[in-house]
Amino acid sequence: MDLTVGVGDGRLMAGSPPNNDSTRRADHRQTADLTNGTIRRTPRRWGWLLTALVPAIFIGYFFVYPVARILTLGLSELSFGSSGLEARLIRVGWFTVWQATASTVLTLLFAAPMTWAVSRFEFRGRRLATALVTVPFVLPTVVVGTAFVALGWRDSIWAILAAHVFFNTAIIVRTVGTLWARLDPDILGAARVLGAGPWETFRRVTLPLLKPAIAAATSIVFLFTFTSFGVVLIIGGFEYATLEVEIYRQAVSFFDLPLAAALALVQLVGVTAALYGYSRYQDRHTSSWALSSDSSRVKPRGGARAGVVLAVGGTLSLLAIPIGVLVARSLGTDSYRALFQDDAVVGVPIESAANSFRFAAVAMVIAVVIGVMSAAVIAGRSGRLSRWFDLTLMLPLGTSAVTIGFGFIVALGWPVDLRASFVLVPIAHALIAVPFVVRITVPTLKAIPPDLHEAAAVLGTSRGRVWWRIDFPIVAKAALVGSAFAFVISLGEFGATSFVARPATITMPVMIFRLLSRPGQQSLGMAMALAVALAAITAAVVMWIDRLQVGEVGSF
Amino acid sequence: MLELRNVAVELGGKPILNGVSLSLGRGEIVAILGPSGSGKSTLLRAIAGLVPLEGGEILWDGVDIATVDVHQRGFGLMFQGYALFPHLDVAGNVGFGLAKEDREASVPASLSRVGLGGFEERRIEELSGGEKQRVALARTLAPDPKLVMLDEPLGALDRSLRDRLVSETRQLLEEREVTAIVVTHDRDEAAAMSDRLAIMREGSIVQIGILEEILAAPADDWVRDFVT
Repeated sequence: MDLTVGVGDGRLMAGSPPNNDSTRRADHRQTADLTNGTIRRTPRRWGWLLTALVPAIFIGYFFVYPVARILTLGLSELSFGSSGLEARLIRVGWFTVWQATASTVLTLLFAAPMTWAVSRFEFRGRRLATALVTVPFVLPTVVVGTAFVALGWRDSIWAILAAHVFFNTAIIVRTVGTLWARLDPDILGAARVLGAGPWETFRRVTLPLLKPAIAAATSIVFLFTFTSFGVVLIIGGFEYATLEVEIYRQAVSFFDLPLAAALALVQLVGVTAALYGYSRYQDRHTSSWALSSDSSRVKPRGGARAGVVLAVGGTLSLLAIPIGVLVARSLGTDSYRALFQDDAVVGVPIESAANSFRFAAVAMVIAVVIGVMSAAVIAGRSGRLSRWFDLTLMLPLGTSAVTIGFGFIVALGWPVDLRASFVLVPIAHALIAVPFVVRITVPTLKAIPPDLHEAAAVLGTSRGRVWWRIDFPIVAKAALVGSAFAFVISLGEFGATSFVARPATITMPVMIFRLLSRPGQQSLGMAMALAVALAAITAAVVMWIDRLQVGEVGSF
Repeated sequence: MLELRNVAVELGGKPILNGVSLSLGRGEIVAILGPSGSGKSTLLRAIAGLVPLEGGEILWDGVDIATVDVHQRGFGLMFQGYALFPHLDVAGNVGFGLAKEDREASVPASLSRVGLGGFEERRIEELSGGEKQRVALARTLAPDPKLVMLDEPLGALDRSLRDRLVSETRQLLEEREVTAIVVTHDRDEAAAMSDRLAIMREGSIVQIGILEEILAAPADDWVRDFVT
């Protein structure tokens, strides 16, 4: 199964591959239900609704309600107006949009040669190269920020843009590359035979056929850079702020919650627009008969050979620089030892790792329980209700992490005051991870052929037994991958955590940020050492997921 | 005209064509007949320049065309699955190989020649199998190629449609006095569409001639079993 998943601003993104096989199967399943008559439908419907209730309450209370509170707060602020609101909105909003646009364009340009090389050609190390290009993408944003600080590149717009390109290249390479590799070679050959040279073939045939993948990948990169938080907060200094960063500053540093809410409102509008663009293109897939079942990669010959070496070597070397410098500089001083020593201000830095692991474990359990229940609901029926449910569950994915954390602070004083509780941290992480668990599990559930159930039913097996023997083993693997994803999402999450973490329950990313905010080489060294540790743990878990072969990291 | 001398091709390290020699006169139609996997499609691709030669040479009017790029050979190739461009409509497909200024006049003419007048704005997905075949044929013939190669032109169609299209296609080729190679695995189709047959087996041409000759004096037992 080529399910497609990747990591964003401390979050991961998942999507189904560009064919609607699974939906077709789901339709098939419903027809199968109908032929079985209405007797079986009624009890199933109640079970379905009950299963839907738990995730619905979870999403309702921890996501819909807080966002609604932000909306009301923000709307009243916008209608009353406050001093400097308009000027600030225009300044920050404009910066957010143009840096996101510039980052997206630069990422497309930077990723193009590598995408061409790995999708058109078969060469030794191609798989490794694709895996390596994904490494920056799965790194927590705080680690990426620290890496650019380690380069000595701070308070510069170019550093922000470079960090965004570094971070998002994998999205283009893997999303566009997956489609490009499968384009029917005969269609490209037909253009050549009809008299089009290589460049003309690319322009008149390849590019139009790749358009859906390019559009989808572009809107995701835009979304990620539009909501960029950790990177901009760390390397942007005081001069540069995206909406996301400004929401954080207004809420956390100046306690101006209404102004922060107004900014969050604007942010939500931007995000919704980007997601709308994405979903529109998701529906318009390249005709399946323009694709060949297996890849059409060829051995590079002559000039193409030099091009491949240059594209792959150049891209990977450039991407390696920030990581290499981060690791090298972290080794230079006594930074790693200092992580274990009690610091007057931040405590023992390495203790944040223990917190992170605890939170990640709790977040993982919540995300898997809610996620698998939701997946069962979505896969169980294919009506309009089910589609709405699916869409609602995906919303936290599109909403920025900062908005989620901010919403908790604004809303969760009722009915019990949860705002001071440490449980908000794993709940926020779980909220962000649920869409991934769902996206990984739903296609697996839908892929179970309905005849398998029917065959078992005909043999007289009870429904519970059928579920246990057929569905469970299949779901278990998806759930395992889902939990691993939830775990790394939680480990690297920074946006929401920065709002809800208490001094006693600080996580690794928050600790890194604190160390970076302090002046002095010693603090910087400790931040770099902790960032390397976090990166290593994340990379280990992601590599383990990749080996399970259920999800493919990085494409959409 | 076209002359192949000991053409050899390898794909993924495996030999696909081992020394194919064949020559075609102007306006001649040769059918290449062989079981699947015998290298027929690869031979067409090699002539078109889509796969590199491992050995031998391909000559056009006595000149080796090894260094001529695919898009400059001026040959036409109709692919087995038609390979129509899904992002273009029928007119976009047929006019693809034409200069911009020629499209407006030539496309409707090409389409009516294959019996698809008025199909210009149809989307490829809406076409039936037979219509796709005609669009692909019109697209291949539109730029007036020096050599036309058809790879299983009727392969995916049902029997009755095939019988009708066999004669239509042959007529189209003859009208234009075009030199053509037709690849097929069907003996009757091969005989009906061509002047001469070349029997291909495991990457080599084992016998060339008209069907009656081959039937009367097959080169070996395999050829006899294959054609009868």
